[in-house]
Amino acid sequence: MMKGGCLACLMVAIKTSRVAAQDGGEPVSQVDEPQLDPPQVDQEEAAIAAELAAIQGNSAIETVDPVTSDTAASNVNENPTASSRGLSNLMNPAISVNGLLLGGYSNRHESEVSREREDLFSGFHLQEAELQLSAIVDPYLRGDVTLAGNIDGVAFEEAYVSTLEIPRLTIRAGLFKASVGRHNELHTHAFPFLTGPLPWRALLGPEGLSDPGLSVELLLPLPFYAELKAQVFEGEWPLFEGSIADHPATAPDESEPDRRDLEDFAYVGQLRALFDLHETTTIELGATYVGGRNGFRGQTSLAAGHAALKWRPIESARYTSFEWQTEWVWVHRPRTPGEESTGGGYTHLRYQFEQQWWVQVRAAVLGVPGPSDDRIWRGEVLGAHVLDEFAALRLQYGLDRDERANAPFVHDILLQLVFSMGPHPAHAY
Amino acid sequence: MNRFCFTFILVVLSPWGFAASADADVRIVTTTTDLGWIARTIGGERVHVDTLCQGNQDPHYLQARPSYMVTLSRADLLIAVGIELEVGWLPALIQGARNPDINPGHSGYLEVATAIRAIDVPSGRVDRSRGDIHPFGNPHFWLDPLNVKLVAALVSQRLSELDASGTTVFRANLASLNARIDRAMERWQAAMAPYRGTSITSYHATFNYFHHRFGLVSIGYLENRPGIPPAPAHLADLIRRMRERRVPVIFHESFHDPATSNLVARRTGARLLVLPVSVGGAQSASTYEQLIDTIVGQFVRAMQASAAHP
Repeated sequence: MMKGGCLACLMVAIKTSRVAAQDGGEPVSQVDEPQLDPPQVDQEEAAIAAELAAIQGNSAIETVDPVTSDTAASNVNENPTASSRGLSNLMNPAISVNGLLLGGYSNRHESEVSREREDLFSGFHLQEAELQLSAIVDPYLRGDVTLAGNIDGVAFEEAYVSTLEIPRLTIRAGLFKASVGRHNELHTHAFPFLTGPLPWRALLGPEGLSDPGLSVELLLPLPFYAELKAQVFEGEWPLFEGSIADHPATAPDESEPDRRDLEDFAYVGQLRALFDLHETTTIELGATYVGGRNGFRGQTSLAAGHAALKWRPIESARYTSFEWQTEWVWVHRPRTPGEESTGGGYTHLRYQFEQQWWVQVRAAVLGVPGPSDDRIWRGEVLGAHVLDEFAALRLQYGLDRDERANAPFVHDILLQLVFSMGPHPAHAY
Repeated sequence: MNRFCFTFILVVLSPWGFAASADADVRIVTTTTDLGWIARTIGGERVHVDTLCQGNQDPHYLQARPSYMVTLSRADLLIAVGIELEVGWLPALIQGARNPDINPGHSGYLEVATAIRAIDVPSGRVDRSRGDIHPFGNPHFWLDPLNVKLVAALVSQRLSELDASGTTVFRANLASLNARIDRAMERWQAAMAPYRGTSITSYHATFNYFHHRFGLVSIGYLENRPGIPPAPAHLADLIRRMRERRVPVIFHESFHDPATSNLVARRTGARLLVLPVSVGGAQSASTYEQLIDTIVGQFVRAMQASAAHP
């Protein structure tokens, strides 16, 4: 109820602020034909808004006239063009399917410490199959639902609605990926490499950070693109895992009831800005903070920073492009036994040298900051043959070096086929 | 909670309110430069026009750069080509702009393809075995000058709805645009008349409306499946047919790699016309008339040269 009231008050405030803003505007300099001045129109609009609010408020109390409603129903039935059984597919959501097939070899099984990376081992796999449904729900909302899974099972990856009609602002509600850096928001089929960056699995968890929540995304009124996001999530993430009962230093407090306070949600704040250095070149800078109380009653903090540079020429945009991107994450989990603070990052380069051909390289490290003999390094080289917008073949070689256990080098070589069926996708930048 | 809400609203919306009252012009954003030319010609002094795609840029493959969202966030009217020309980038830009005025279905969103009759609408089973085809027909209709008149009428009508006090100005500007096109059309028809029925080829289906208008007959495309580089077998077949029909010219968009078209030109003796497809696509094409003049001029010169040295 509280949330609903807040939303409604926001809507009203937007309307009135708009009216107020235009009232303060300059007077109209030239009027060729007799018509109402904008201030007059706005006053009228405000009067109509007030009157409508009154009418609609009253009509809620009035009872529906049974005769009219019967007539309406019979009209619908007699209309020969209506789909009498309600089975029209005219308003179906846009459906698209992405598939990722993987085949490869790895000597990971020889290494004890790296075994948890179950996404990299020898053989054939269905890495993921993803079903996306998107539609405009009504004049106010757009809906996006994504189901993803593999041979072991299928789950909702995202299911959310976003607002369409609020100036400067998008509000999203539902299950969605948290806006942490750049990588966390990507679906598997959009990963720049075959696998996620090495530290992400350890720092954000195998599924990344996504949960039911609410997001407010504001386009700042600046001459360049700057976006501020404030999000709150249920926050059932490895970052916050733990239980007082498990903590060696804390005696379990049985008297305290199991309840959720405001501190037990996960809060995410992100600011990102993009500048056009040139008509071919754009730079992006971003910073993210994630906070919430962990199971050991400590305040977990995650800070992330990212930067990206993209170049694509004007005339031969189809044939060549370049991208550099880097992302770093630091996690601090006070009171968590063992790893209190850790971090990591990656940097990658992607170069498209022909319409269908890409080469890419990425280096990643986990355990920075931290002692140098407690780090894991990973390097990846990738070559991609992009058949068209809907299918690509990608070959990746990866090398892990785990300095903790003086373990042997781990190699993996993977071939991936990505395909996409359905309407033409609109690409995010 | 309510106090927080109120403060938040104040902080968020006050700068936006100031921005909205900055000037009185109708702020128009068009996806292509041709639409930009039409909007400027009709709107005159009463509009401010920004275009997203440059004249020498392929409108299929524009990057959805966030700076375009900033431009769109301030627009009163977005004019797009439609029939899926901009499908790969415009939806993301509209969503990111967070400007309800230009959402599809609102008076600030105009898709001009509704004014024309599209050609090359694929029939039979439509799937991607034919490449990245346009299921609603060929969207490059601005290269037929008569379509430009239809689009201009639609733009004038929409501008009158958004800025009623400018109606007389927009109508007068529409009449003068029509007169300009009619005048130029006589010159283009006269120049092209001797070559009616000539067989030609092109890289992509960009020039089809131009070919239809001036009676040229396309016998095929180098890029037979849109978005996919042509395979040698297809090129060999096309070259054979071009030799049989003695095709004198290849139409080639300035933003496509000319290597393949050069190869075909070399093997068939056809002349390669590297052409702008939009206003601003070449230095000699800063207005719509100059754009068509450039295409007609290059074509006629190539035909005369091939008649002199077949």
